[in-house]
Amino acid sequence: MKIEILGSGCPKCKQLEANARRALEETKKKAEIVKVTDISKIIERVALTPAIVIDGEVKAEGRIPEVEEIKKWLK
Amino acid sequence: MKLKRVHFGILLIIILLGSLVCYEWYSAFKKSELIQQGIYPKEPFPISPETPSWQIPFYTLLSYGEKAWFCLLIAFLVAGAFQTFIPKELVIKHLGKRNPKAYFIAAFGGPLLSVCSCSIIPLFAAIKKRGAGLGPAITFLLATPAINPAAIILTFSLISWQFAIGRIILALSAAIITGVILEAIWWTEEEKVGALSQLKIEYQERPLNLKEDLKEWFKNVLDFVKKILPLVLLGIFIIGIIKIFLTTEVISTYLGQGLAQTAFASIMGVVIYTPTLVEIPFIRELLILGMGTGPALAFLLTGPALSLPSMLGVSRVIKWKIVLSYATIMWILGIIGGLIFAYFVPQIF
Repeated sequence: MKIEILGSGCPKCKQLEANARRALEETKKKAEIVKVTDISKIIERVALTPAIVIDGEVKAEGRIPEVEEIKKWLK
Repeated sequence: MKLKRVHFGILLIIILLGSLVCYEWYSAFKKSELIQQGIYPKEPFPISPETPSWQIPFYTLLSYGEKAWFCLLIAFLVAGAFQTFIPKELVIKHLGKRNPKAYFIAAFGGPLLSVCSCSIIPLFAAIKKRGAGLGPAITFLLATPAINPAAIILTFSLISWQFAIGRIILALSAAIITGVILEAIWWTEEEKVGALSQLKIEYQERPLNLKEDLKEWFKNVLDFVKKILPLVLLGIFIIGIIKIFLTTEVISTYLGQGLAQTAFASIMGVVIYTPTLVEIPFIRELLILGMGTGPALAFLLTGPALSLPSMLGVSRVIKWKIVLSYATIMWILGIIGGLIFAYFVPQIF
């Protein structure tokens, strides 16, 4: 599984990354977390940051999903 | 029929704004009544020529705390409500197509989004490349920080309603005009249709879930307070320090009413980096010391729209030439805006 965190590196993106890591820990799943900070790469996928992409699918953009919400996507 | 989330949000915002207006009117009314009876309400933290200079920054901070706590509270509540209840998708959906309407959506919708400063540049790039194009993207970039809801509320409470309205009208028109001019100048060069898909965002209406939504609102408000309030307090304290060195003569020479002064103030807005909301107490103090209304509005027009950090950030996405040309146009429009405003509102305090 591959989780991408899209955002230019502001506190919100870090919060999102932390939530994703917590969700992984709690569900005991293994996944590669990739941070995408290049703006031209980000805008190919989404317009609003921060965004989370799991296995190529945009799950949330422009907000920070809670740990519980991310856990549902990991299943 | 179930109450929709958006509608609830709009209702909430109207109630908050209404209570602020009532509060301001009530205190103005009470004050004028006291003055009629010959009672002049005393400032709890008066700053006079006898005040020792080390006390001035503290007194400035305290007197703002006393004056502004209510409107700051409302400003944060409203900003949080915008972020929670106004769906961003609704605005961005309309920025996906190249048409004249996109300029208006960018100008009016941008400020409604209340996105954080680090999200503005990716969104700008997305509107330019995948959506409405360079012109509306520039309009969005310039309008969004200049007229965010919290800044307008604070301008209304701390300076005056004329400034709040002048700021909205002139900032919106300046942003639209700059966007249109840039699109006309750089159109051919930037008109490269890439393989990128069109900007498309689906908008799903969400029903109101009162408990969850209020919780989210509260969280967003707290986020704003944590992020912005320390900067505002620090900013006001620094203004208090600067005040020690400024005299009425200096201000009225360099920042009084006039063309050169307006041009100077509008450059000052770019060079002096003031964090969000701090520009308002700063301008208020300068107005009290004799700054002209024209230069003051020019500063409020260019300051938030054209800070050096934001221009550096944008230059990663578009060419420096384009950045410089929008900055120049915005500067000229800032001067014109200031002069127009000075014509209509020559005196304030």
